[in-house]
Amino acid sequence: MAMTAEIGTADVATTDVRAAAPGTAEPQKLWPAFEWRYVLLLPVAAAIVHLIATFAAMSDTRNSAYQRLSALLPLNTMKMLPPVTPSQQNLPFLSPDARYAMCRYSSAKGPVDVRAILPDLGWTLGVYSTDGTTAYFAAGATAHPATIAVTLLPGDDRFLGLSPQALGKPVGNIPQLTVTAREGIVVVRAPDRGASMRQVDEAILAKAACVAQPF
Amino acid sequence: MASLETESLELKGGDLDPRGTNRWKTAAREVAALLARLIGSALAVAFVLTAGLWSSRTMINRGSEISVSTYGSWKQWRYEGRRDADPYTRAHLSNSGVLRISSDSAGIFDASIDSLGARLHSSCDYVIEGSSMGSLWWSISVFDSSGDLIANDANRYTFTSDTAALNPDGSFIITLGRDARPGNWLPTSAAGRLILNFTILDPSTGLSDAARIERNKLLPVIRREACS
Repeated sequence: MAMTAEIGTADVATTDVRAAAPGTAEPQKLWPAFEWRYVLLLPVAAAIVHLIATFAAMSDTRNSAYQRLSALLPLNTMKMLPPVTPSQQNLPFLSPDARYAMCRYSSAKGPVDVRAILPDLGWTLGVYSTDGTTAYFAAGATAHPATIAVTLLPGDDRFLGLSPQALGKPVGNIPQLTVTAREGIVVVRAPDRGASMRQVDEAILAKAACVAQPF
Repeated sequence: MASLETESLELKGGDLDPRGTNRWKTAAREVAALLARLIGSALAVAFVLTAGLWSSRTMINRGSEISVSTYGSWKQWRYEGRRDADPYTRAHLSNSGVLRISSDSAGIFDASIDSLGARLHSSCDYVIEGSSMGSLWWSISVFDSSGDLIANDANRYTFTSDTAALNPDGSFIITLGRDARPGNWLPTSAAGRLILNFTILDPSTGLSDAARIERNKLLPVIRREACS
């Protein structure tokens, strides 16, 4: 009998149920003792979840500006958007302080030429990647009109054809910049300078171009 | 023999047997231990997931000291749009759906509180007082808390350095409220909570870090006038 009781006590002890052996003074507890050392692991585990969630959110572009504008913008074609109003606001916090011309570009099948005139202060040209980071940016200056010409290249090691110089084609006096950007959006921004300047600004903005080169 | 008889009597005794009572107690303890483990594990998993996900979402949506600088009422994502941005800024940019000029080409600031720290709301009138920005181009726009423009009969949503009526010294005053006012008035209708966006473009030649610090000292002050 005594033997049976001892074996029972030993079994309970291995499952962390603190039943005291018969004859001892230790009070019997219904609930097991709490392993406080495990509490230290909780912040570590929470930090790991935090990091995983952050990096997952970083690579989640389903709700990005690029995704929102994809359906609206034809590929490798500059499109002038209507003035931003409550009924025609394609992106959150898109300010109506400017008119926008945008182009969804992809240089995967060959280089894309982008050209825009920035006649004054407040005019900008930005080349954005699919995640919204800026690959190239240019801003206009007061009384110093500038034509910006950018060639977007995919950034891999493919042969993309000869340069205009090598082909013997005439090269304009506009310096041609090359930017590595595979996919994204080009945004040309014409600031709102008041009603008197709107038509002029729209005409200049309409000259912005985004053209895929034959490859 | 005597011992065997006693044992059979004990077995027949059932519940009255102290060994049987012990067995029930042991079983109860094991069940309690199992329950405690299950509840403890569930609570631990819930804590880990909640704390990890909540802290991540908060730092992505609202920002923290790591990624956001605060200048009075205004907040700026320091590395927004930059390729060397921290993961929180990158996640914020790709999740929020905004398309913004990179922070190394412009200063883009958002305000959801006034100078006293109270939330901006369409039930209140505000006066925004700004210093001269020199030759820098700037704009100020008002949105609701979702980032949508606020529809109004005047079709006014923004003022820029070109369209705002400036004081002779280049400073400006913009009013924010439901009812029409003379001067640079931005209507807020019944939008509820408001978010102001202030954009300052860097000159085409760029700005040094010291010049940026000086520029950020000149951000407008948002003063609440009255609430209805």
